[in-house]
Amino acid sequence: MTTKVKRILVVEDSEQDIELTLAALDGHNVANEVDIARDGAEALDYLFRRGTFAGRTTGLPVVILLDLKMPRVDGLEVLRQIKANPEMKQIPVVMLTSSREEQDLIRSYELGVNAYVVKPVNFQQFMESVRQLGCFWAVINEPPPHPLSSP
Amino acid sequence: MAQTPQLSRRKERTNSVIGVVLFGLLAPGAAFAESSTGRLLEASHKTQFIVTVGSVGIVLLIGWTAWKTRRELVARRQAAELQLTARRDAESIVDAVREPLLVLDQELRVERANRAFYQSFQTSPALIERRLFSEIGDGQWNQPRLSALLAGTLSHDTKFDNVEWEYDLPGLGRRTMLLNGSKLNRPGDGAPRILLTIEDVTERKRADETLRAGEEQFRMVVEAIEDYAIFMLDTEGHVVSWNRGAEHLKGYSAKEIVGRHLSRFYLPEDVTAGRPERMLNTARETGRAEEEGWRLRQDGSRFFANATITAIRGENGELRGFAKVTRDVSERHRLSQMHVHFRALFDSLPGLFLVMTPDFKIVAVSNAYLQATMTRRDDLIGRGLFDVFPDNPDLPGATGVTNLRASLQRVLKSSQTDTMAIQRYDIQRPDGVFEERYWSPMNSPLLGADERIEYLIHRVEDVTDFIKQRGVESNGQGGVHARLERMESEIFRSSQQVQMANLQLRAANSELEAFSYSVSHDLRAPLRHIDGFADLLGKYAGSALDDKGRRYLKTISDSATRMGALIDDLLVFSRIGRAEMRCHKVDLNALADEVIHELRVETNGRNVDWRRQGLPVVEGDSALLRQVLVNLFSNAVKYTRPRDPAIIEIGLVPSAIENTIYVRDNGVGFEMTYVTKLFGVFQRLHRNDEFEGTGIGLANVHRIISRHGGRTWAEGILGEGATFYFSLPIGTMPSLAMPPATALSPETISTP
Repeated sequence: MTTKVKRILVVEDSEQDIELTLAALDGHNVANEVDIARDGAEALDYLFRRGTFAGRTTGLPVVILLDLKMPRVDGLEVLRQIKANPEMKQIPVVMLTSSREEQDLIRSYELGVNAYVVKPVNFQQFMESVRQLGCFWAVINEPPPHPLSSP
Repeated sequence: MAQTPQLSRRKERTNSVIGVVLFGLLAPGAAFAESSTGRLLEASHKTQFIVTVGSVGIVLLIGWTAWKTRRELVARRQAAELQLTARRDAESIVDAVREPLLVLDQELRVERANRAFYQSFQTSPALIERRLFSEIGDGQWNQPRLSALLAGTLSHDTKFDNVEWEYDLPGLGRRTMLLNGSKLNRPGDGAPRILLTIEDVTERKRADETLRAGEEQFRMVVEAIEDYAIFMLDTEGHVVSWNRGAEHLKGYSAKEIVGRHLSRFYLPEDVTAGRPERMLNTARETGRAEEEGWRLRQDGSRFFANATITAIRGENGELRGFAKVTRDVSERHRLSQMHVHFRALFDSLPGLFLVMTPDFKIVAVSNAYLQATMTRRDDLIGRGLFDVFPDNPDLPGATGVTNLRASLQRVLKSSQTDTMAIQRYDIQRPDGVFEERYWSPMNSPLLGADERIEYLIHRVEDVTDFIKQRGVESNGQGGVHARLERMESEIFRSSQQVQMANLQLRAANSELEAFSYSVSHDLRAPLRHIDGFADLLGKYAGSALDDKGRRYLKTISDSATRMGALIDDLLVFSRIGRAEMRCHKVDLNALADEVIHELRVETNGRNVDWRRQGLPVVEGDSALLRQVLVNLFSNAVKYTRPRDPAIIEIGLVPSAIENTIYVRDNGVGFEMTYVTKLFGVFQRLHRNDEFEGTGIGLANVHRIISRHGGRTWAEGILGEGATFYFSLPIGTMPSLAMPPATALSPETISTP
């Protein structure tokens, strides 16, 4: 049996949110490797192995936790590009965002987002949400067979 | 052609006979060599013998006789040959005939048949020749009727024609045949025979029947048509047929009208003018005539008709009569007349009007508009508005076209009238020079039946004089007239200001939307961080902290959570003000029961007595009204918490002008002194540790009811209970296209 690491990509521009997210994932023993992209442009570079990520040897993530409002390229654009790419579109994308504005929800679902989670202000609830997300997408959910198992 | 060699051969022979006779006279005995047939040889012997013994006279006589005899012999031979040829010809003709033929002898046996017979009846000479006619074809011909006919033909020389006969053909089933019989008298043996021809008419008969059925159906359809008068006229124009539509339209029954002349349907003056005859003549000459005009019914009333007359001609082109189709187009005629009248009315309107399609093609203009813009109707109709009225090229920064286009686009987008501020929009004179002009335009949509914009109506006032006068006037002097004009000019100016304010409001609204969007995104994030890191701090330094420290951390956390809730509530409140209202009939009974049902989960374990009286069906946005009920009901549930049983009563206060609904509870109530604070944003009459909440619920109720054109108020007695009222107007709700100002009023945000 191969011990394949299930990788999670967190796309988030806020330092604090990254730390809280990592704390939440750590605190609940979701044993995965977490990669961080600090905005949409970096996330696309990571996924498409461009720029600083040109030499990335790790496989594609099993789930992408995507913030919506980010400098340079925003979450909706990242989502659009992922879902427009035949190889990437199978990766589950979860919008993890502060916004519960209707227009964001509608746009995200139109672009084919797999889940939309509003970050609660309360940290305990936030921890619980992230834990459940990590648990579901990285542990319980069976990833699609081939494109994600590439080296 | 085929006879030519035969003829020449005969000539040859005749020549040779003459030659032989001459030879007999001049050189007897030498004729042998010349003979060519046995019979000739014999004749030559005879001739030779007589020549040898007789005189010259006898020789001549005998020569003549011999010549004649020879000629007879040749003729007989030729006749026999001809007969044979004729017979062969006849047989091949008979075989070539497509109809089956039979020749029967006098015993009614088959003497012979043609090829067509063998093919059609799938038989062969061996099977039928010499057999009795009644025996062949499995005896299908063996019927007394046919036998009698055949016998009659033989004995009395009577022919029979087209006798219909049913016959089962192998593989083809029942066929209908026509039999024709006639006697053949053959010279030769003199025995009479019968020539029987058989024609298979099954297909023709079937086609005839179909045609007849079709004609009958067609006749019935025509007969049944009610909306069209369809009838036939004879060649002179007299009615010969009459359908139900004709009866319906013109009022005559068939009995009353058949035989009468077409002119009866025309007005007397039209008859005098010769219109019916003219129409018939046109149809006679060109095949068809159509006209529209007034016609008379039997009762003397008139209708406007569309009539078509079509000439009906026989196979040889002779006129058989006319078909006339008449339709009542009175309604169409009335509409088109109305159209003409309205067009004239529109053209002569005192105002300046221009009507265009949604892509700005001009379809109509009033005369006043033409006059004001120094244009002619023909130069405008069908052309693009901005092609005809371009900006003044000599006026840098002219905004006429841009502003007008923007206004028209707004009308197209919103389907609502757009009033523009006063515009400078110069007009080109016929000599090409642009004239300085000022206008006060207003653009409105004209909706079609499908609620889509069919036309745009552009209405303008020429305010050039006012504007210019304002510039000239400086001393404020002048009579009443001048003052009036000044006032009007003021009105125009203030309308311009209103336009500006509207624009600013529009901008403010979209800014506000952007504001709430970023509140939603950005304001909540730091709160999350405060709470998150307070929690993490608690985990890492928890053991180092005493109770006080831990309480501080908890307060940080609680405050952050509460602020998050306040932000969320504020966003909901703002959205309620902005959301588009979709108004329908809403049954408050069903809505109230639904909300009560949902609240039962919250009240589980408590003794709550819901008393819902009969509520009305109102006009409103069901999602928003639902929120009203949720807020009022959950308030009642919350503030009756110390009561057992809690009694919550919902009912209607009867009134003719508005529906007033109340929600009454036996809860903790409130002091009427503070009643004005109840519906303000974040206003509370209770501490959070008594009754939780942010104080947004009643503000939402107030805002929603206001948007429905209604009112909210409350009554309470401290310690006894509270009653909350809201009213909704009965009948058409005032249209609130513009949402109420979304900014919070000063007193509502100045609370601590």
